[in-house]
Amino acid sequence: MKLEGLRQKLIQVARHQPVSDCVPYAFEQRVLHALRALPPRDPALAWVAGLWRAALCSLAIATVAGGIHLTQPDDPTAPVEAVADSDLLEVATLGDLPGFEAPLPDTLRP
Amino acid sequence: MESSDAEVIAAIRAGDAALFGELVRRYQSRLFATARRYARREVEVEDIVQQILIRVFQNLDSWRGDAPFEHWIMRIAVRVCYDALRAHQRNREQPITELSTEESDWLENHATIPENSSIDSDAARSLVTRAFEQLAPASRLILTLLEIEDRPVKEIAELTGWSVPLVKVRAFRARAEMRRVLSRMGLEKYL
Repeated sequence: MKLEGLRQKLIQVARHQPVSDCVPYAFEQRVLHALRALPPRDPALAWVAGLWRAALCSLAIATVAGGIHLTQPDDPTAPVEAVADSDLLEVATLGDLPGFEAPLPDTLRP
Repeated sequence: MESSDAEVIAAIRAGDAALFGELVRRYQSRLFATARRYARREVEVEDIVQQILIRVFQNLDSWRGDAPFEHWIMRIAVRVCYDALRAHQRNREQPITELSTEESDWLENHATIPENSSIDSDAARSLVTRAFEQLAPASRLILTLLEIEDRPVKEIAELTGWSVPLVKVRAFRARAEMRRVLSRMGLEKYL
């Protein structure tokens, strides 16, 4: 509590301390000279900077999302993904039937 | 009759860049006073104010006139001062030197009768300066705006771009940090 009292007293000191608002001699001229010496702003550069920022953000998000996806453990109870090739799916299904043997392709026949 | 800020800015946007000198004249005193609260040395003050004015000039098109120009320029000023504090952050952790005789005397007077310790003393001002130089930039900024300049939290949020809850959290942390700094300076033994 005493430390807080000292802190508040020091803040009071700071509040009471006047801050000078005096301006150095010829400051206005120096500022205007500095402004005249500035290179002209190219609007295209602002676009480029913005696009770079967007690209880097997208890359960061994709990296994080990819990392999360790769570190996720495989779920054995998850349903098998549907086979894209419907012909292959039909052959596999018929092959499950007892006594049925899928015909060999011509290239594999003796 | 003096032109309003909006009229001067409209003329600058129309191509009369030399009129920016009028804005410099109107606001330079206030900007120097603001910068002096945060700069470590007088030589840095002019650099900071010049940076503020350059940023104002470069972003003049973004002032839409929905808030007074003074508020807009002070917002830029506070953010440039904060950037200046952060740029010098690595020089913050300096070894704490011994207290001078005057500082020790002031602390002993404060410990004896806190109400009577002078707020107009060079020794007290020196202690404040040393303590503030040890603070993190955000802490120094928030204590200056909130406790020294006595600005409302909502105004500080607008000036800094921080949310109101963040301003409150930072204020809480800043006060705690200042107490730690005072303890590190060895001032506790006088209390």
